[in-house]
Amino acid sequence: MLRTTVQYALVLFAAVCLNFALPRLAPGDPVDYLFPPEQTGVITPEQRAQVLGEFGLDEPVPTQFGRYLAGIARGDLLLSVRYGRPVVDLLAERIGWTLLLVGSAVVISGLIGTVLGFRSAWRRGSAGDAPVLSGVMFLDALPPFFVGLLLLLVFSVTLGWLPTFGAQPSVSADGLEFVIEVGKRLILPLATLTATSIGPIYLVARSALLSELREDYVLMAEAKGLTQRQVRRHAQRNALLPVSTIILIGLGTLAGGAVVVETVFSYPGLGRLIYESVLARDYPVMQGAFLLLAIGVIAANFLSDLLYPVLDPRVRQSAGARA
Amino acid sequence: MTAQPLLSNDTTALPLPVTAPRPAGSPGRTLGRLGAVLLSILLIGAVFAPLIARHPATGRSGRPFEAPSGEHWLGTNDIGEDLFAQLLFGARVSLTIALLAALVGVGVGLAVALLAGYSRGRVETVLMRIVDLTLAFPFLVLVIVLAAFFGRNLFTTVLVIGAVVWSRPARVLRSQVVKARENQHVLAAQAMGATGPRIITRHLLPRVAPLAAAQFVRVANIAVMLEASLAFLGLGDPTRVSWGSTLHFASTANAILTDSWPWWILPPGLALTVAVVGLAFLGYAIEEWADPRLAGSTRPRRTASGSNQPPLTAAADYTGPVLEVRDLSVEYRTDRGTKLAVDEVSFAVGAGRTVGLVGESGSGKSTLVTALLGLTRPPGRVTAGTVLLNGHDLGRAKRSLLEGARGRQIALVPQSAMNALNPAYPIVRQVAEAAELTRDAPAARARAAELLELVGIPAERHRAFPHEFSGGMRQRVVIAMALANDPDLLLADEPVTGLDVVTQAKIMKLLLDLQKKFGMSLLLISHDLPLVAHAADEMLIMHRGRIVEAGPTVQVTGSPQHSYTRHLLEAFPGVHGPRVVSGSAPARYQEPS
Amino acid sequence: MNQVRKPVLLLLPLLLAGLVLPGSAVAQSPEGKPLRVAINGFENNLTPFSVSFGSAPNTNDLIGLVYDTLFWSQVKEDPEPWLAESAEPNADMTEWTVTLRDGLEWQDGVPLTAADVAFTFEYYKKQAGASGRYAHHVSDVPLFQSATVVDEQTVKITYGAPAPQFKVMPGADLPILPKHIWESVTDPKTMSTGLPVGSGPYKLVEIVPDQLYRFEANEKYFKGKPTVDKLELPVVKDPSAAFSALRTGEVSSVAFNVPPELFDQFSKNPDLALAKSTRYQSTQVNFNARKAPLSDPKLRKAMSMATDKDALVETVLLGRGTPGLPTFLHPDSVWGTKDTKSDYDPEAAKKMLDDAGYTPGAGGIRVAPDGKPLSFSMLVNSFIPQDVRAGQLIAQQLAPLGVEFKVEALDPAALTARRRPAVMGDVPPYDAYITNLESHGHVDPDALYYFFHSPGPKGFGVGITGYTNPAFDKIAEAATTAPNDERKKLIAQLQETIATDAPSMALWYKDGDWAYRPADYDGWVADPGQGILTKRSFLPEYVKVARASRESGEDGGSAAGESTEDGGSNLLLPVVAILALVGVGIVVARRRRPAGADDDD
Repeated sequence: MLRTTVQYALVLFAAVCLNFALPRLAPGDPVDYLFPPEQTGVITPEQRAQVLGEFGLDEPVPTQFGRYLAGIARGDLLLSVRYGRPVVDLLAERIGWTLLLVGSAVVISGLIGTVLGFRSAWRRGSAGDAPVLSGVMFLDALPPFFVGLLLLLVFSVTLGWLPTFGAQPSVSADGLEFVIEVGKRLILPLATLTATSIGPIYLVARSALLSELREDYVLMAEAKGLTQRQVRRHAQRNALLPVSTIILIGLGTLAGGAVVVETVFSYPGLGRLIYESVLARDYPVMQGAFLLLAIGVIAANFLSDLLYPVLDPRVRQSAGARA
Repeated sequence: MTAQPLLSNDTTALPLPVTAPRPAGSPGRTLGRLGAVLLSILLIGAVFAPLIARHPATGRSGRPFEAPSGEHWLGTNDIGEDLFAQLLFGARVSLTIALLAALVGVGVGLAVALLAGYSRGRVETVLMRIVDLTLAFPFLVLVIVLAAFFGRNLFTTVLVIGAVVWSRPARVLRSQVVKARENQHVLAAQAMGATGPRIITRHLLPRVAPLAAAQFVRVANIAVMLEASLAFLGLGDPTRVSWGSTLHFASTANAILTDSWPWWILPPGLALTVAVVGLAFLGYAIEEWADPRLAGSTRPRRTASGSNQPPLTAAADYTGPVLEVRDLSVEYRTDRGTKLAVDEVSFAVGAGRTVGLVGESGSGKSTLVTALLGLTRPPGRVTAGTVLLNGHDLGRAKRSLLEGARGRQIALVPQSAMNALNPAYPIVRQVAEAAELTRDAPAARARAAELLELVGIPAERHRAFPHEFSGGMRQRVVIAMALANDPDLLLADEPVTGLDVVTQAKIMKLLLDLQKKFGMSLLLISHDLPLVAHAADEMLIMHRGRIVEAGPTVQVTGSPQHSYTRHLLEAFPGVHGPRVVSGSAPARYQEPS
Repeated sequence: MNQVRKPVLLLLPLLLAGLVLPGSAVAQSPEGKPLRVAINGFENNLTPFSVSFGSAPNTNDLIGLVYDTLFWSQVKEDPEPWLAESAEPNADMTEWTVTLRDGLEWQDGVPLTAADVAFTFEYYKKQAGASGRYAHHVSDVPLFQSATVVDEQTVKITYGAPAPQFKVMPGADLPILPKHIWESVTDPKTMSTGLPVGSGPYKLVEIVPDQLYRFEANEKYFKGKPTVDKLELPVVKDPSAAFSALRTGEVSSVAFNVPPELFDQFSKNPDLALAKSTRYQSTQVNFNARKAPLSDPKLRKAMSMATDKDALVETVLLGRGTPGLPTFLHPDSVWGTKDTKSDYDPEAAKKMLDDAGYTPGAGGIRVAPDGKPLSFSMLVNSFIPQDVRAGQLIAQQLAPLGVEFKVEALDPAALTARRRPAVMGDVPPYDAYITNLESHGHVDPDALYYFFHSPGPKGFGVGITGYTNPAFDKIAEAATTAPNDERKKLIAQLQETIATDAPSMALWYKDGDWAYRPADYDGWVADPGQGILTKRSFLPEYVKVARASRESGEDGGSAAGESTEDGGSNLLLPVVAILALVGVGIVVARRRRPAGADDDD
């Protein structure tokens, strides 16, 4: 356990360094984005330094790195250059929408994918398997932006049933009305994201259950006279392990948002924030968001390490023995 | 807890790249063909684009926003370029990038997998942590950074996609390498002093090749999608005609608000879908070919639950055999032909009798057992024969009857008891579950506890999980499970194989004791002729799916008629008649062999 | 298990459908309900320091809702007094005495006085870096020195050189800041200042970051109570989404130009009206005039002559614009010449290159006298598709001339960085790039000075094009301090020089087409140089004029009566596609059932 923790800590530190270095390797700096010469006049080196100085970005790189590390320790992710506000606030504003959109997509696609995958595996070879298998693979093959554009085209542009942009109503709405308005703006991006992320979960669920169904305990369960439903439950119980892992990893990468879908639907999620920050060379936001992403991935690892023993008694035992 | 590095342990990893026969009619075959056809169409379009398209892909050839016409089959885009030509030429970009990125991604992934899987230890840890790191990698920045150094071109796109996707094949292939490394041949080669590079190239590489091929297709699939996404977001080279960039311009020119979307958005979007789905189908087919488990095959679907069936107990005046089998045939149908595994087998097991079924591996014993239980698994199929249980004709189609009999009148003690228990449940639950067939839950729990005590498992261990028991103890649990509903007939399929000698004897004794105690009939199946000979009243010798000799044990072992029986007997010197199985090891195990 | 699960799965779409049903298109009336206008960029808390000019071109208008300037409209030669009642220069125009209106108040009730004006000038100077685009008002031209409070209503602004254009620049452009808020602010780019307090007709009352601004009318505004009580400006970065929201009535107007491809459709839509007012935007190719062989004016001029700007406008803008002029400045700018003669003549261009010693070379690409082939890269902003398209078309047009251009698309920051030399004063590495100018440039009397003067006190000219021409510089310097009439003559000379030397090639000047739903609000004022989302669209005196002129049909507004079945054909295909998909789904589901049941073998 300790070794794992140390390893994860090292991975996190490597991510932190990478997050600091990589954005600075990109051509241009925040001032280049904020002040295009045609709009603002050419910025003199002194003026450039003055703007950067407001965000501590005129300091030598090692000092900046030190400040970044010290900030992380304090839970302070510095100020966004583009927004002039604390990165922590920006992330906090976005994470809610991302949790709502990407989080529910992971959960819903996880459920549907698992149910369909198990069902396919159970009915393998029958007419219930192949069409679902190819159908899900087809869904998986649809580019999210293509699906998004088509949904937008049908439901917003043509039918006019659903709003075309944003996450919350621009009209003041409260209580139930607000929920409904948010829901209306959520449907299309959620549908797009869900439909296009069922695939991998489905395939894992299917192959995991197929693999379990070959196990001797399944034969034994049948031989001892259990009903098909009981037998299926036996096998599914064990097949859940890889399935839960892939769903957790999906949740772990959630902090990266869903850039494409958020772009198509103008949804104010983390993905879009990251994307725009990359274009704006907003180093502090990039650093903060990527840190969040790394933490998400590593937390998902930890979580599945924790979940593994719950799902698999064998691991529970040996993990206890090792610790 | 490093044993479970979840991230490095891709859940889609397919552990068995053995190319075993695959049942006919599996989805992979059809999907693979379909995928190949779809990709071929795209490929033909891409290769012959200059011949098919009447206009160049770039450069105006009409007015902007022309509707489809004989001249421009899919109309024109915002600056009057021919969209049909762009569709065809776009295929070139997508397919080239798919190919190159897959080469890079799988190349790097395979190298890392081989290195990590071969060297293990620290190198592996470091490599796999780097793999973990790529998941949290700021991909978008990488796109811009690389584009700054190399320009926005095909090379950069391939590099970026390669850098993002290599970790996936690395993860999947590493677990395969680790398994391959434990393979006997590889260990042997190593023991004989083969060098690292030689082991990697000669022994490990061929074993992971099928899976690498599957990964290649998968990565190509991801690459197509990534390239299109980047182009759509405006991070690609907008001057390069690709499906993604066509969609980018369609989207920025508000195609969804104008009438131009049916020929500006749909065709490239569908082309992308076709390319990805084609690759996905092909990839699946390769994976299924590499791992036949995925084929699934046709597995009979059962409907009713057993508990509602009338009991198949013997009628009061029934005096015939518990089990009677007539002309039972089971065959395997695979894409490599049909094999008759059980060939017109007939025999009977009388009440309270012990019948031994002996044959070497592959003789069809286990197929016979599963057929008797109505559990023949595809690609196996019962093609002929009649099974009578307590005089009731089970018939091969009357599965519901069989289901009623399973666990009640017929019970199984399976081969490899090590794996016959579900690792996820405590043993008492698994026994109680069986007992619940004929009683309510509390009674079943009581029965389970009683049975476990009976087979020698102390009460305080009843709530333990299977992995906490030794092989012998597990076999006891399995026996308890089989006895849950007082079966008339116990099928013991290699009940003690794989156990150590002392334990073998103990379990055999337990089994025979219990048989007497419950008055069951026992069909004892084994390759181990002496073991069976010690226990059985009658013996059946099975060879290549047929019963070649049958009769009382003394007769079969004493004066074998069939040459195969003689051959078997010669393989076990010192077997000349029934011996009492005692607590001590049978004499034959002390003899040099 | 299946029996339980299915109804749940069925319920899900029903639940989602339930959310769909209540009509989403709620029409807004001017009374009480907010008027919604889509904007395309989020600009933090809308202070002159917080906005990023890279992302949204309409920030001037937005800031104008909250802040006021001393005069109105920088596009005019003699702007209308706004906060100022008058501004009088001394004899050599180096000192301006500004008298403010009576009774001005900040939105928080604090009186607006001369001290605020003086503070504003000094503050912009102090925060030159952060003030970005306003920095030039207090730096070189005009050469700002100091601002002195004379009394409550009067302030004196002193310049180091004559500043004849004071009323326009900075008068009509520099937002006046409240001293009591800003005097303690040292980090103006951060949002530490909270909701902005200005003197303008609208108070910003709520910011939902990256999603929405909510404004309320400043009822005590000195020009009268605004005609709309509440404004809501949702941020919609994707133009398709914004214009589709306009079509469905989700928003009442969109604060950016109607894209050319939507113009016809919108002008036929009975629910929509269009207003026309150019924002003096231009798109041009800047050549790197310091890098050989592009430093040769003849080569640049030949390329300009071989570029068919009419074709560019027809293709890229679908005709919704004016072809670029060799004289660079927008033809409607009060400062430019009205000479609209094109210089397109590809044959003459070829001859010009032949004569200048650019000989034909391998692959049809000419070779410069120094032996280098005329093969260049053209940088374009990958996020402005029209620029990308222009680049591609220009490359095609220049190929017959024997000049090769490779279009290289970059993201905006990378593009700016490529244009910037590693060390100030060095020759930057690019060949040419396409860029856009918003209104400011073409109506600024000192625009040509900023863009083409060399080296410029702070290197502006070099920074933009690297163009150097001592004769030009001399005239440009004279123009900055000349009175209007003389200045115009000088500017005409400068334009002639630009036309000859072609350091920058104007490609087009976009028409400004603005769409709105007249049923929601029809008081929109289309002032030249502005969008329609300006404070004047809500000030009674201007709204009245605009409505009157629209009724008399003088305005570009075109609430067309033709009703077309817009969307009818759009509807058919997707509906059929979806029905087909659903049908396939049902068939598959049906087939699976009996097949599964028969599969009992």
